[in-house]
Amino acid sequence: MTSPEAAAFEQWLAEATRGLPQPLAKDVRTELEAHFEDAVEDYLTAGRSPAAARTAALADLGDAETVRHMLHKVHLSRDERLIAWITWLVPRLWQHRAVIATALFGLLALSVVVADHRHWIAYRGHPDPLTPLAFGFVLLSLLLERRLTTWSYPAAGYLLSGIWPWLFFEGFERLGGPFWDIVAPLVLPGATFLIWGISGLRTLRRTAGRRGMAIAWLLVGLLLATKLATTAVQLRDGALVFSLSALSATEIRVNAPWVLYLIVMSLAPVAIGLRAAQRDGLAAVLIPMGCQYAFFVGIADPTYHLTFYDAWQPSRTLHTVEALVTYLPALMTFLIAPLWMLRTPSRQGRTTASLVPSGTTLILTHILSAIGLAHTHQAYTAATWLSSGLESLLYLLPILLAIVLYNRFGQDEAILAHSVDNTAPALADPNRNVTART
Amino acid sequence: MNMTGSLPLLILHALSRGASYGYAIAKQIKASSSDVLDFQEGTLYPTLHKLEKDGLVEAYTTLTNGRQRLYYRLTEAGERALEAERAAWMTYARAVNAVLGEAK
Repeated sequence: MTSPEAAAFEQWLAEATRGLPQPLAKDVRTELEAHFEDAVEDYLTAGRSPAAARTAALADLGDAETVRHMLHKVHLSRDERLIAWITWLVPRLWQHRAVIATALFGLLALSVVVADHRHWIAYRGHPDPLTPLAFGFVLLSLLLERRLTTWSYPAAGYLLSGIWPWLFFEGFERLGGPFWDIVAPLVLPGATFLIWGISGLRTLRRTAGRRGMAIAWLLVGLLLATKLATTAVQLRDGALVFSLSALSATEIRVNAPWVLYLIVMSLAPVAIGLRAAQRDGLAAVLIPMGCQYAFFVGIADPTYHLTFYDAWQPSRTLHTVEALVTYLPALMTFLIAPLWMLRTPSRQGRTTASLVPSGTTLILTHILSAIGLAHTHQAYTAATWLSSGLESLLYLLPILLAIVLYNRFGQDEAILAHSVDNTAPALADPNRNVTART
Repeated sequence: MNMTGSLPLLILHALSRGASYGYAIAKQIKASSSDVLDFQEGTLYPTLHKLEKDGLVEAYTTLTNGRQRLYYRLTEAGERALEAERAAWMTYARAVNAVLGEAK
């Protein structure tokens, strides 16, 4: 069996000779091996233990990267060095594709959001540059790895957040035509319900007879009821009105599709959570959820209000706040939360990474929005604050519920064929953090 | 002590005493300087290869104690380069010493 010191030397040699043409690499290896053996012999003669002798000899050789760099300068032309660098870089980029793709999408999303927030952010029905980009990321994931990979989750979350206004509001209507008239109200919500139904059934079947699961679904029911109630909360004459009973039959019919859609979108990640957690850990559920909720409630809603009043009463303050309300949540949602979750090694860390940026996003945007609106006659009242606070809490609930479910069932051997290795960074390598139970 | 830039000169000087191989050259440099001059021994080889490419040293293999070793020896160009480098270094060292002495 190879000793750790010998393995370390092998690694050193591989690094020092990497990128050199084969015959030359072989010669250099022979020379360095002879040097290493001579040094080890001398240290042994001096009374060191074999392990200590190898460690000291390796330390004397110095930094392998420096040696490689010098060897490349001597033996390779500029073009050859470039090729060696690319062949070194590509596998490493692929190895860290989760982090790179997440960061890339995050940065692109940020730049798009910041560059054009006034024109489309509040009306996601507009064709916006980020939607094709998000589709591209999801498509790339399917083509390259034949599944929805973890690095495509922020993009998937963005697409999820864009579905509802596309279905029920003016953005959709602009598309026009009988095809979209049918697709919007029937096919897309139908498909969403179908996905939720199938994944929910699967989850229930896998957890049959478990008391914890029943409690979890009670919580889901509670959430659903809360969602219905608070969706129906409206501000009338500066007062909070639970207006479900006050709504006319027409109003209920008009509001029903998107209320239902919101309910499904809240529950779907929870329902599919356990299955997704089997493969990629909790982050698989929480990243798209975080993106969806934070984008929807954190960016779209507050920006909509600000844009509305800014259009009516143009103000530099409002415009600045609009930019902040757009930029900060986008930063949290697309960059900080996913990267934090990808890199954190512990379950607690991932939980924090999923809750803190989302929570901060939701609270921050409402505060900023209130500051901006204070410059108009539409300043926040106590009732507005309460309504916003409830809404923010509501959107954090599904995330919290997913965490509870994951911690309760995510590691359960009877449910899962695989376990998630919580000592590894969550998504550094989609295949690395999943280890088969034997 | 930082030896940036002076390693080729030290190698040429070590080889002026006779042909040698990498590890022995490293030991000789360290021993001659009472271990004051220290360097990453791995960097010795790219430096030797560069000197070989420049025609200042030449390499050959030989069997020593049953082990095949790559030895290096100075070429004539290497001897001339050593003299030139040594003279330049002495001039430089004298100049630095003069400045430091003046500062006292």
